[in-house]
Amino acid sequence: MAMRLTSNPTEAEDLMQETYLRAYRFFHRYDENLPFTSWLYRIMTNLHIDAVRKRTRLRTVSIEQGGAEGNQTWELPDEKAAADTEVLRTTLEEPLQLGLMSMTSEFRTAVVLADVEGLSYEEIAEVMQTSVGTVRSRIHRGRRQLREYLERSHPGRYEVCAK
Amino acid sequence: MNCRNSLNSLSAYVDRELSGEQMLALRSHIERCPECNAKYESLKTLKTELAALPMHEPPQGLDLEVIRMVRRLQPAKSRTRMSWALLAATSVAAAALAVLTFNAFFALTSESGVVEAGEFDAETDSAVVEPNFGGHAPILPVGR
Repeated sequence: MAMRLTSNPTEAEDLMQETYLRAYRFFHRYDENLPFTSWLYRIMTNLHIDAVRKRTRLRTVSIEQGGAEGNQTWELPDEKAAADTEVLRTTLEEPLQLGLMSMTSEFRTAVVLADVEGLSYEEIAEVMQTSVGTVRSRIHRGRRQLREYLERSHPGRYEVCAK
Repeated sequence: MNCRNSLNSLSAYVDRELSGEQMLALRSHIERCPECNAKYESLKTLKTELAALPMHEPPQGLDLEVIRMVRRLQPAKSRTRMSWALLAATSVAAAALAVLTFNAFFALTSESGVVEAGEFDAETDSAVVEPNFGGHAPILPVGR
């Protein structure tokens, strides 16, 4: 799971360590109604999404807005960074993995939980602390992003997936 | 069901996350619509391919590293626990002292509890008084 989310062994290792440490430190907050593995998934996915958001924030670009005063500065997200384009640093080179990394972190997390970990929408909603409707939408849009990526980058190899 | 509705629900259909009625309606549509059927087949293949991605084992020694990190956390945790215990003990002691002071003050000022000269207990060197609490039970300090 950590490898599929980060695509990088060092990051995956850090993510796992931090997940276990958080679980240990905040064990008193564990809700017994939630399966323990779901709780671990929740910690891991939150850590992953937060890390991606932080990276994206760091990569925002400033533009000068020549308003009436001519001194306004807007912070706009870097479009290239909006999808987690850590692809260049990735060490897993399977086209599908590269496709996963081309997705936004929320979509990637939902798709990985559904297709790699085999969780139901309800379980994913519990892990991601959102509604089943949102999970359904994230998976739908995530797969569409993945298909578009495969269509663009590997038209021959994944023709069937990309149709 | 039309193609637009079908395309929006195909992903959930592949995951068997639609209600029985919706499943039947969509199945009937994709049987008749080659375009939606092709999309359905491509989504199914994508899901199968993702599920078949190889599993990566964590590196050797990661579990020991986590245990080491947890152990490093423990002293800090114990220190925190100690300081909380100290704070709790201080609070209880302060509360007990406040109650004792209040009782003593109440005793000294109550009519029947005024200390008369010579009414001292020689052994404890403290005033022997039977304070009147006005018919109410005396307030006892916590933990005594």
